[in-house]
Amino acid sequence: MTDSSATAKTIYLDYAATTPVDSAVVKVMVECLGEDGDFANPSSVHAPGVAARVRVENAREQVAGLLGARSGEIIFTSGATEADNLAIRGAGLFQVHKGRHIITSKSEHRAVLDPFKSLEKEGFEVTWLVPEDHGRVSAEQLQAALRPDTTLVSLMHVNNETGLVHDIAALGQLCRSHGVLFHVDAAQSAGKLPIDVRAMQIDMMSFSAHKIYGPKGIGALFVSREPRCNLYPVSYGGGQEQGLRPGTLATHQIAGMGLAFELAAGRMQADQQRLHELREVLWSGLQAIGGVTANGELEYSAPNILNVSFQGVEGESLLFGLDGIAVSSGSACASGSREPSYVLRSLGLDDQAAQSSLRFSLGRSTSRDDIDVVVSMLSAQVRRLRALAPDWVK
Amino acid sequence: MNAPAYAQLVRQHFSRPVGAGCFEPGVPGVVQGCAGSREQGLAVQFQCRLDGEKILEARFLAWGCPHSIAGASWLAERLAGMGLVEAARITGNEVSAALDVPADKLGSILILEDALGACLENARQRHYLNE
Repeated sequence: MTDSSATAKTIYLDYAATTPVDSAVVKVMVECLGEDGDFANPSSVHAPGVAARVRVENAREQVAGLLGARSGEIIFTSGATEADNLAIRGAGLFQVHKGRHIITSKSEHRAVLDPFKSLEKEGFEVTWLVPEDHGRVSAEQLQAALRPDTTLVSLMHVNNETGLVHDIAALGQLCRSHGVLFHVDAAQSAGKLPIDVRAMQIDMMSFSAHKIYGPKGIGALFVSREPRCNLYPVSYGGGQEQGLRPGTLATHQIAGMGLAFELAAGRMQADQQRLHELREVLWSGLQAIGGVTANGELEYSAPNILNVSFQGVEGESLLFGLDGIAVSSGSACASGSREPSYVLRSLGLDDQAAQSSLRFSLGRSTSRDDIDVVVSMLSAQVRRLRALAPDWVK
Repeated sequence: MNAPAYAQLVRQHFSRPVGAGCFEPGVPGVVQGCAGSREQGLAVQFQCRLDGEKILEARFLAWGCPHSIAGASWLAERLAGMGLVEAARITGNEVSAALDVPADKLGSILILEDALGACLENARQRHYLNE
């Protein structure tokens, strides 16, 4: 049972939803805000403006550095959702003369599904793939869906609910060989899994800063220059960001994002090794409860995410009983919704199994003690709720 | 944080439910009723141990949301010592009002009402209730 505000005792295992801002990132952001800082408009040609512009361009290089990209290929946006919209609508509409067939998966984030739906309403034909390869879209499945008039494919790197990882290199190679643009939502993978946009043959890739200890309200879209990927802007009003994302650049947020990406690059391998070990401890502890199922094979999932169904318990009661633990439920991400997750449904779970699911996402501050406490509390709650259930629903 | 706001009484009954469980087989004077299913979001069983028309103790088993479990507990607490005629007058609206149940959960509270009704019908069939 929870109060509206988090307390110091809260064990936070919802890092896939968002992360706290790294203290070094906070410091850099503050340096761009005050009268003595680099607060000026980065588009201004005077000295303070140039100083702010240096901050922005430095951040662009930091972001590009994590991806194997060039700094000129990074377009800052308000977050991954805007980047997804820019990529899908911008590229889809730019290529309308080539074709109106576009492809995505039913287990994508709403930030991808909804732009696809908007294009569908405008006369595009969308193929909605149902992941068949252990909850993932395989290259063979994608190949079967490609058509001569296909212009765009959008598939996420790491699924935000299950942690399942697409084989982006194989999918990218397939798209490139067919001359089809390939967009990847990397909100959950940037700074957590290695990314090389050239080797993976990615044309566009969306990012968010707040998933890797940067600030909320800032993200980016990688847009390949070689080969050249063209797209229309989705908003108008200025020439910033190569005309693709007009509006005064938010220097403090951009600088924060840049440092967050640089810090993530430096510690990615060690972080993921540690989180993988902790997730194994968590999964082992949960299995000991009995009647638990991992949603998505761990072999194919990112090391920081574990999604589990608890048989014989109702999801809301399970979540309600976890006082002091912050995790996500198998309901839709809209707060308070009791709708079963469409992502878990796409894996074949029925409504009850989806609703009795919890997503644990581990982060830099997660400790072995945290995992032990969570396992202990969950074990007690699951046993209590199962004992309370009538025999005919067990 | 993890869930929408719940009334304090819901928290109290959910964490320390009154009458959770069921009577051992063979205990005299026990009547019971069930309602709901997993598909309906709540499955509940009510039992009342009777002395003539008086409810000595009520117990329940429930699979459902916190409001439902708290509602069953609130009912079990309320029923103890109550006469069957008086118990038959309890409505889902009373449960909803007492626990500040949100509108989207009212269906579950009606299932609780149905389970209590089935329990009282069982008492009627077994002639505990003289009408």
